Amino acid sequence: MRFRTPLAWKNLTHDVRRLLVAVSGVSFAVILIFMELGFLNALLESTVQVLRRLKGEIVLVSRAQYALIAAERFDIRRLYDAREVPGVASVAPLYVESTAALLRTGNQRGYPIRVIAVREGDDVLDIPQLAEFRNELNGDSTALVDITSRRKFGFPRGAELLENYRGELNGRQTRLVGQFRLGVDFASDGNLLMTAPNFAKFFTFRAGGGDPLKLVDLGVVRLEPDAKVKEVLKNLRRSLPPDIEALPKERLIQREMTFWRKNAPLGYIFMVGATMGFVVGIVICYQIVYADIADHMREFATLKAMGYGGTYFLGLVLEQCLYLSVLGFVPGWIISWISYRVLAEVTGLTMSLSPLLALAVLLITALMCTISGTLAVSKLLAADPAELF
Amino acid sequence: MKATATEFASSVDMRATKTYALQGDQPKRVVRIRGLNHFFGDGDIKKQVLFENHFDAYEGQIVIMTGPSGSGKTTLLTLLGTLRTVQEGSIQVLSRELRGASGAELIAARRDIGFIFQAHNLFNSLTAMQNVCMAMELFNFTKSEMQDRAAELLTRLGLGSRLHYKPERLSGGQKQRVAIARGLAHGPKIVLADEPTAALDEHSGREVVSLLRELATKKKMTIVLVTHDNRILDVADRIVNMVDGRIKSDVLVQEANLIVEFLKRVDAFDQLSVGTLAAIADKMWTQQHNAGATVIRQGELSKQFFVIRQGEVDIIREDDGQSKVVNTLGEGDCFGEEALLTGNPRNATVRTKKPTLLYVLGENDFRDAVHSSESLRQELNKALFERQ
Repeated sequence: MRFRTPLAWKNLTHDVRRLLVAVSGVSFAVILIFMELGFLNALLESTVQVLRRLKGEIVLVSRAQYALIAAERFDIRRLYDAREVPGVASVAPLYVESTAALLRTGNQRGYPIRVIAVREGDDVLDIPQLAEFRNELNGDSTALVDITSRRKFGFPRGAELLENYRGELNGRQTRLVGQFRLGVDFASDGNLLMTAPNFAKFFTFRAGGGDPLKLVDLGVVRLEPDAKVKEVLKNLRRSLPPDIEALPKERLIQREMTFWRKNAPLGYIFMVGATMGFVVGIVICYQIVYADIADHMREFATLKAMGYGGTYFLGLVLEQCLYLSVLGFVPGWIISWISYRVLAEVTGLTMSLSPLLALAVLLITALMCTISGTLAVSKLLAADPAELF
Repeated sequence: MKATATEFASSVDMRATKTYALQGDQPKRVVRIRGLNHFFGDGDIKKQVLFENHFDAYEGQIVIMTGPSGSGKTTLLTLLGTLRTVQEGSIQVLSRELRGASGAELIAARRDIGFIFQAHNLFNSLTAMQNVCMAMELFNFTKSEMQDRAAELLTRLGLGSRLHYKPERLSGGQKQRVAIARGLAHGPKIVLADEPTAALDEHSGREVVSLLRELATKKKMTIVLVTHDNRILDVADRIVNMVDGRIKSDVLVQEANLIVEFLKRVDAFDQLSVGTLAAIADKMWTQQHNAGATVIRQGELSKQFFVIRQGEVDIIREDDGQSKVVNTLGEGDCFGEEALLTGNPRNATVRTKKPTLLYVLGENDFRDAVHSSESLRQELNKALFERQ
């Protein structure tokens, strides 16, 4: 193979100070995109935290339930029917109230909070504090509080201060007996967790005067160890009336996220934000790459005069852009990762930096640099060498 | 005796571009420029910078282009080097027409050309050696071949101890020499250089000049230099002077020296200084004739003065229908001055005996030259008086 001087690398690394400026510029763009996508992801992810914690392979919902906040409920007897279906080991209800739950701390005005309830003895939510505080939760009007709940509720910060808490849920004195961590989302600013009997006391109006626990929000289905999800789903769909929908848990999670991405203005805004980050990234990269090419224009023109062709220059610039995007990506990634941790701590949002997201942003960065490189090199390709000196 | 068609065709007047040797003796032509015009700007600010230029360059020739700044030398050089698009006229480099050439054709042409720019244009990120190698990477050299060649050239130019220095650690002159090595490294057939010695001291300037001379002689490179540097004029085979976008004079240095020698031998001119003779020589053009061609005919009006560069002619006087060869002239001899001075018609016919190359001076230029020296005129009158 013919030998080639690694000009792209040499040019890029020759001036260390300049390289640092360029790399930090690209890193900035990377952080921008990571943040926007991160927020978007976190917000979407936060909406399905409850669903993710469900301990079951299949979930039963009302056919009318397009999203969790729709609060479309169904009769608990459907759960008894479902239990008879072959392959089903157990079915447990999950009760949720959000718009109708008003929490007042001290003398402040009240704020809506999401209240989730499980029957005692049902192992339906992956929240270890449920078992830990089992005895306390059996007490009258007791609840666990989500420590990621917004500060406006005025919940005590430390577990030892919970005793002193005085608050009313729907006008009824509430005792906080422990803490757990779930996360807030678009629709809810905080979470309380309690047992079904207490839930019934707070939401007596739930079933329009009937047994408040008669209407359930979700039915969580656990399968026999050897049962296949597909077959049980088929059986469930056959034996349940058409107003009940049986979905695999993962499918429900996707449906919920899609709903929020498409319908919540916030989801749209963060998508626009991510796009803006991309555009700003292109501008930054273009500035860097263009300035670099402009500074070397005479040398490149000399190469052109020697008989170097367009492909060479395009390759050269793209190679340089590739190095730049990788070099800029790594610190951007690290800084984003740290920021995610900090933000998750502060906001209670689930900021997770998955490898898939990282890969996506790396590709976006490479794309940004490629586009700007191609734009920046066009003058060099088009002009007569004499005009470039 | 009428001039036949063949005779006519066999006599070629080279007013547009000089030819300095008879066909067959001529070296290979590598550059051919005809009717070259060039404009800068567009619309109202369109300005013509080159006017109807004709220029040829031959294998192994070193051409120096001089002229005041803004005279179009560099523009001509960049057009020749495919660095600008040819607008009007024709440029052929190694038989490749540049006007309207495609991108691929331009790239092919560029690879036969080596450039040395006034600004060194070296990559700061590369060492001297790597910069030179960049010129060779387009060709099929191995890595070690490239490095050996680069090292050899750089050493030759006095940079042997600085092969691996980056430009920031080299002086202006050293950088210039790296750029020169880069322009020559791939063994181009044509080297174009814009003020290559401007940044060099006397010694390295000489070294560059001797290298160029060697490459022109041994490798048959054609070298075109734009320069104001008087110190290197002696390397030139040819000096082209441009003024206001036109080639004003094009002097083959050795040839000019020879012609001056010839002119000096003419009795009539022996009072003139070398400078005046050189100016006269510069105004002459060449004519080629096959054997047996009639150059001037007895009884014609006199228009020109001739110097024989190559070949032989017979002087034939015709009296009462009888032709008689009164003399035979050879290389270095002149004829035609007498009739121009007296204003009489030609008193003899001149016919070539062999293929002949003549230098021709027009009537007006001849008169100007004569008037420029009073002593010359007196001298001539005396000579003519004595001859009668």
